[in-house]
Amino acid sequence: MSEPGDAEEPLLDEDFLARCGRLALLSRKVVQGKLRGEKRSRRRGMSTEFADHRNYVAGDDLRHLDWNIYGRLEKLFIKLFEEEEERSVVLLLDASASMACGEPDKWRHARQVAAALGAIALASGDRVQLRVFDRELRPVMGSIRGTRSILKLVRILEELKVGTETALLPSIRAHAASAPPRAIQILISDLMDPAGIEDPLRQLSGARGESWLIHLLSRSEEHPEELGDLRLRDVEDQSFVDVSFTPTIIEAYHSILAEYREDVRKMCGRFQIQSVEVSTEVPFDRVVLEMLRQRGMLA
Amino acid sequence: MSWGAPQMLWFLLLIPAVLLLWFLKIRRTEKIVASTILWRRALQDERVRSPFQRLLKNLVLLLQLIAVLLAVLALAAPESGSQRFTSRLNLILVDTSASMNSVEADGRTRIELARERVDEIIDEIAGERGMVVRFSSRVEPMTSVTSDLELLRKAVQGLSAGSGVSHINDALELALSIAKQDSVVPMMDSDSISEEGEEVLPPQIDARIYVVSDGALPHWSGDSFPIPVLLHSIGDASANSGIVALAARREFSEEGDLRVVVEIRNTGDEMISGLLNLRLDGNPVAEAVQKDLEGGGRWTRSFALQGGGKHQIEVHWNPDETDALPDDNSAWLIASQPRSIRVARVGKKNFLLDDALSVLPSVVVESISLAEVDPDTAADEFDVMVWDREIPDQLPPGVGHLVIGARPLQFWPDEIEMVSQPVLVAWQKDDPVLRFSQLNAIDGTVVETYPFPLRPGVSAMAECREGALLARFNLGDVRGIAVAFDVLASPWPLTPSFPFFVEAALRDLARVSSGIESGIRSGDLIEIFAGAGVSRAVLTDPSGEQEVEIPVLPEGVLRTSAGDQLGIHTMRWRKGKDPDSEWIQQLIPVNLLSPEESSIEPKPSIGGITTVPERDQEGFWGDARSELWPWFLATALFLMMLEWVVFHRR
Repeated sequence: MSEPGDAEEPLLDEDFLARCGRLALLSRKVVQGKLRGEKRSRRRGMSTEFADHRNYVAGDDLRHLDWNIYGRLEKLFIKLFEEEEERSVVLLLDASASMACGEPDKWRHARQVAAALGAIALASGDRVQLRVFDRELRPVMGSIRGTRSILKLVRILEELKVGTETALLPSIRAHAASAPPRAIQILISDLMDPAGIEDPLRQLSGARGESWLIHLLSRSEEHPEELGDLRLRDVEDQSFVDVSFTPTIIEAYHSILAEYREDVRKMCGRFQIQSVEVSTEVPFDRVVLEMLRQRGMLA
Repeated sequence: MSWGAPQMLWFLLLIPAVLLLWFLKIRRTEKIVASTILWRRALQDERVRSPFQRLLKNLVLLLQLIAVLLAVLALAAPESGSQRFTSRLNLILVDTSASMNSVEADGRTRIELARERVDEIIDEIAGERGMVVRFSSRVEPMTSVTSDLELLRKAVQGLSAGSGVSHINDALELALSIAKQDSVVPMMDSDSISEEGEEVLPPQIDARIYVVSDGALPHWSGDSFPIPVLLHSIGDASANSGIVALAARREFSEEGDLRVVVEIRNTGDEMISGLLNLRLDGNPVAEAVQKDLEGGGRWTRSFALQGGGKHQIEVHWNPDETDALPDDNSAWLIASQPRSIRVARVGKKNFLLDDALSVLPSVVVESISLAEVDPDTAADEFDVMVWDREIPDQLPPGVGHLVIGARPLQFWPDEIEMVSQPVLVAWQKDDPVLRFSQLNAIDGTVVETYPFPLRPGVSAMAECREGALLARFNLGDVRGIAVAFDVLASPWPLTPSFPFFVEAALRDLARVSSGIESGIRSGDLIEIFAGAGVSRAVLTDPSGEQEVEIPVLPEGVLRTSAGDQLGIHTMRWRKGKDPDSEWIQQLIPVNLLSPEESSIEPKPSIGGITTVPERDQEGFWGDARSELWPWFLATALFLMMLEWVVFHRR
């Protein structure tokens, strides 16, 4: 497994890529693609895999009548088949300056998770888009598909640099306006936006398809270990706050962080967003291979 | 706990300043974080929940505050604790009067016992400051205020008793003055200021006075005493008898016979027998008188001595049993014929004045004209010059002047307005010259006078509204008495008071005594008017072994204090610069003659002063104060170091 702090190493190694081939992203609702693909869809139609029966009505294609049942029951049923459709996965990566802060590095961790999910999606035949944002949405890569595109995705992620301040609402609003229908959109972010996160999450859920949130925080953000009197300066807007680290203030911070996460969870529940809280303390492969699978997001 | 310098508590105002500086001075390391959103909310939450929590839990600030608090308290000089290590001032007054020569039953004198007692006191005041003062007829500091108690011990070792009387009041006043100089003035607040704006808080005196004495002390005459006085009474003996008075006067006979009076007192409780001897010039003049004296009794005995002339008279009281104080068993006096007064009579014919001068005994009058007066030799030839309506511009120095009906220009250079029949408003009845004179004869009767205005060097003896009718003048070497009118223009010369006035004025101006030197006490002032031209003077003690050069003051005044040796001291002086010139001498008897010193029974307290008995001293004082500021300061420094370590470790 890759170590979280290996900044010079490739985002994904071959061993991990080999294991990605056996995984696929699971969506709670089958999404409709443009082409007949390999993914199951709840949209019944022309396909080879039987899904269900229904009563025959005038106008149905007689080729789909189940003559075996007619022979046994003398009733006309139409065989329904699950349509094999091609699926879109949109990786929505927060590339604001805050992602480059914290120990271990959030930015590398986020890109590793994005690369892994993208590789899994590509390996399972999905169409993948990569969109990054900071102050605004920046599409960096058009839609790709096929296993051969994995390396391209990884290379693009490796070359990505962080931008400036975070503006979640306009960025996600711009994404929602151009998101492919019925796509799985995976937001990977620390959600550090002074303007708030409720409206952005609402926008994300309003986009067509299924929404995931990988809420990423560094270990130093979860468990600050500083001592003494510090001036904490915001990397994005350069504002600062003077903090004397005492057990009391650290306790207060933990309490506020817990409240914040609870708020995120509640909002995600309200907006039907599947969320995962990820710490950079946990290696990305464990995040992908264990945490997401345990949540039923990968299979 | 009390505060030696409570005004320093104002420095507690530094604590808010420290708080302010602490908030300002916090050295913050900058750290870049992803966002300050959560931290802002955490800070806000913490401030709302517990505004003081941060302060209390900040060790560095707490240490700083405590250190400043302790430093300020140290400045305020807190005092408490044990008797040691205090800075209290202990003034040890040691009685060295004659009574301290009393011999106790064990054969030791009281001054020896006193030295031992002072040594014990010095042991008791270890760590404090002290000063030793001896007192008898004089008060003499033996050391300065010092914390080096060994200096006190050395000073005490050299103490011996003299023959003077106890002047405890002077010693206490000196001690009080030193203690007040050593006192701490408390901080003044608005409540302690009276309406007149005067400070009403008394100074805080951290001192006590030890009096080491046999208790034969006079009554304290000062105000209420603000310092505790610890009396260490020395001695037990009380059996003593001695001479407490000796006087002589000439009889009214041409031969100048003498009558000598002696008083003996038994100050003890038991009867004492003894012999009284009288000696004239070293020879017994009468049979010794045996006398039994009851306890507390007194006996007065007079002796008649025939013939005038100069004599040394000695009186000795010899108790059958040795009494405790030998110093009061002898007394001396000198009887001599008063010398003649040499008078120069200058001026116009005045038969009334001449008659008055002619009847005076021991007065030699020489009439000279104004032109015959030699200012350079007048002081050598005459004791007094009498100027009657004629006077030179400058009066000769070094001689007394009696000026009648004239104006000494040295004192009154301006013309004086004439006054007729002035009313007498006051005269100095206590003046030795006017003591036996009645001035009613010049009250409103003087036909014509020029009253002297008062000015520096002039004092009025008799005054009317316009000025002095009789005045003393004294400036430099020129001194005298001036009469502001012609006595012939008044009825005064016709009254008996006029010759009394003239005689008293001549004796006063000539500085001639009655001839009886009844003696002075040890330590008293010896003052002899030897006249102008004295080149050298020497004082010899009764044993003749010790001679002391006496400085000659202007006008030939010889002034010194009598030494501790009782007996007849001899003052000798010589005039002119010729080393072969004749010595002139005057005998000065120095006696104890003190009922207080002869009464040697120890007394438990000093009259007028609340003293602390020895047995109650510990209870009275309780725990003496010790200075706590070094501990406060040390703790403050330790906390500052701890704060430094904590600050830099963080």
